[in-house]
Order: sequence, then structure tokens, then C-alpha cells
Amino acid sequence: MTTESRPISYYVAPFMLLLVFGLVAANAYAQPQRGLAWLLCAALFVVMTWVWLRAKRTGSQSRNLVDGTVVYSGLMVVIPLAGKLATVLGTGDWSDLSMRASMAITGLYLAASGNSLPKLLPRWSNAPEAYAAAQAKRRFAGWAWTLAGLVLAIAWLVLPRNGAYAVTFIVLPVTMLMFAVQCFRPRTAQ
Amino acid sequence: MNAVFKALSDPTRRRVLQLLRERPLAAGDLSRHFAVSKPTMSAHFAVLQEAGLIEAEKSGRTIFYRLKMSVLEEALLGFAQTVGWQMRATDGAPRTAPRGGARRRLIRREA
Repeated sequence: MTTESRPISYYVAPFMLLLVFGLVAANAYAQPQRGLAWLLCAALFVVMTWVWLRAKRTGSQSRNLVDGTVVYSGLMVVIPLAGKLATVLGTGDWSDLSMRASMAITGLYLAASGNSLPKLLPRWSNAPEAYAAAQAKRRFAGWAWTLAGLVLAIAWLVLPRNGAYAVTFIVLPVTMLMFAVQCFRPRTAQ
Repeated sequence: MNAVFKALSDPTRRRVLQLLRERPLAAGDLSRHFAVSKPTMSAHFAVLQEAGLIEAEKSGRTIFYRLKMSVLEEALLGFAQTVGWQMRATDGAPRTAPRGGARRRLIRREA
């Protein structure tokens, strides 16, 4: 007899969605003049909730991926929303901390996505050369995004704000460019 | 994660993973790189599959193995390779190819 083990994101995802909606409502109450921004944020998470419910109902294999995405994107939004609310309520200026935390989480999300990228195998082909090329591209993309994500997260945790911006605007375009070059590079004969 | 550490603790299995980095290979082609009997290689493949580091694909009568490693697992492989990490094998598959009399006995038994 086996019991199905579920990742922690399975339990955290619904809590995260509730937290986002709660914080959006509280921010809208505290700052009604920014109504459009709160409305857009709520609309985004309504769509995310719909996708999450759909994945839950169908029990698809992508369920874990959807759970993880909800948790990460929830964290990216919850921290700035909480920081904004705390600032409006007069508990000090939390804008720098919330920006740093949000960007560090974005970096970690990139790193986690890059880490699992080579696990998503290309479609099996009886042409080993074509398969090997597709596999090499995924491995390269995985390494590139993992390292870029880690650099981004560390930069936003330890560097001054201007330095962290500079690292972000260097690392992300360079990674994208490297990936594009790798994708369009002609295959050389082995 | 324990299964991954177990799989990476063996030099033969690490070599299999290195070979699969280049391209998918048939079980027979992989076995040719090692002085190990076929059942022993099968045991190694089973450990790697159990750890989720490789995947088998049947094409006709041939079984191809392909790499299925995350970036972290690849980094661990590189680390294990660098420090020559070797733990006591507890999976039934020998850590290294048996030599001399032990090898002859194994081949006779399998025949």
C-alpha cells in the first residue's frame, strides 16, 4: 500500500492565492486612488486561480508545475503588496526591502526553472544527431538560466540598489543573447 | 535525493552518465565501454533509472538510454567526478568491474 506524497507547494498554493486577494483588497481600501493598479493585479490572479483550479480538476501531470508557479508568483507579489500596505499604514519605509525580496525571489524562480529544464526531455527521435542537438540546447539553457537566476538573487540580496540594477540589466540580456545564439547556431558535424 | 547520491557514488555509473551527455546510446553500445557483464550493467542502469537520472526508450528490439539530469544533479556529478567520491555500494551492483578469478567465475555463472 502506498500513499501519494505531495510537494509542499500543493498545500501552499491555495493559501498564497487567498493571501494575494486579501492584500489586494487591503491595499485597495488603504489607497483607493490607485484603483486601476489593484484591479489589474486582482485580474491577473483571478486568471491564475482559474488555471490552478483547472489543473486541480483535471489532475494533469502539470499540476505540480502550476502549484510551483502559483507559489513563486504569489511570493513575488505578496512581498511588495505587504511592503506597500505597511508603508501606507505608517510603519516605516519598506519599499527597498520589498523590492529586493521580490527581485531575489524572481532570481530564485529563474534558477529553479533553469534547474528543471534539462529534465523535460525532447521528443524521442530515431535520428540520434537531431536528438543530441535538442538535448544539448536544453542543457545549455538550463545551465544559463540557473546561473543567471542565482547571480540575480545574490546581487539583489547583497549589492547596493544601483549595482543590483546594473547586474540585472547585464545578466538578463546576456543570458537571452547566449541562448539565442545557441539556438540558431548551425549544427557542426561531429 | 538519496537515490541520486547512491547512483552517483559509483564510478561506472558516473561514466555512463558522462557518455550519455553527448547523445542517447543503446544498452549494448554503452556496455561495450566497460569490462563488466551484461547483468551487472543492467543493475547499474536500473539504479540510474530509479534515481531518475536516465530514461529508457525502446526502439524496435533495442533499448536506448537517454540522460535526464537537472542542472543541480549535473553539478553533483561534476563534483563527485572531481573528488573521486566513492561510497560503499549497497545496491547489489559492484562498484568496479570484478577482475581475475572473480570475473571468470561471474562469467561462468552467467553463461
